[in-house]
Amino acid sequence: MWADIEKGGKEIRRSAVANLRVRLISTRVEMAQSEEEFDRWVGGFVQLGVVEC
Amino acid sequence: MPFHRTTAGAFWTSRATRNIHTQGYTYPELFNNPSNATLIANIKAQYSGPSNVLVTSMKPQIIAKQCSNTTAQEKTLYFAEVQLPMYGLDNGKGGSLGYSVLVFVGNVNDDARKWSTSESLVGTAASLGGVHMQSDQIVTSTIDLSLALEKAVAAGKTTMEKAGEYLRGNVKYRVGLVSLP
Repeated sequence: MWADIEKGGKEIRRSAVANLRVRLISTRVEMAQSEEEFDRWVGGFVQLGVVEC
Repeated sequence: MPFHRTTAGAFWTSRATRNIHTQGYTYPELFNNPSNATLIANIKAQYSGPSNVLVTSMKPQIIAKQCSNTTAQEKTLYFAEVQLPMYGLDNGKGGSLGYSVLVFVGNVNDDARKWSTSESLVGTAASLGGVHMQSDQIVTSTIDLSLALEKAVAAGKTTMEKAGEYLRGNVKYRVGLVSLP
C-alpha cells in the first residue's frame, strides 16, 4: 500500500501545487581513505539549474 | 520530554544530556561506548549485507576515478532537491489529497501508471495530505543522482566531465496524485 501512496499513478498539473520547486544541485566531498572512515563534506551546495516538469 | 532532571525541579542541561545513556536511551551499536573501529564494525555487522561483501562506497569511487576534474581524494555528488509544499489538494469535500513528486533521469513515460516501474525513476518525495491540510510549509527532500549518472556514463551517454550538462538536460519530474488502493 505504501508503495502505491508514494508512487502515485495519476498525473496532476504542476500548477496544482503552488511553490513546488525542484533544483539540480551538487556538492563536493572528501573521500574516505579507509574502511574505518566516512566521506566528509568539504563544499557548499551549488545550484546547477532549476529542473523543469 | 523529561524537562526536570530531579524531583526537586532541576532542569536537564546540554552537558547532562550529552550521554544518551543517562536517560536510558541507546542503540545496540553504541552500547558500552565502543571505539570508532568497534563502532563501525558493529554498524556493518547489524546493517550491512553478507559478511563476505565489502561495505564500500563503490559507486562514488567509480565516479571519482572517471571524473577528471576531481582530485584523488575528492568527488562531486549530484542531487535533485525537491522543495515540497506540505500541501493537500482540495477534493471539494474539506479533505486534502496528497501528491507525489517523482524525479527521473532520462525519458518519462506518458502513462503515469508506468512511472513507478520506470528505469528512469530515481526517487520520490511525497506529501500525504490530510483533512483541511492546506499548509504552504516547505519541506526539502534531496534525491541522490549518483547511480543514474554512473549508469549514464557506463552507457556512453555522457562523461563525468559533462555530468552537470547531462543532468541539466535529462533530470525531469512529474507530479502524481497519491493513490490509495
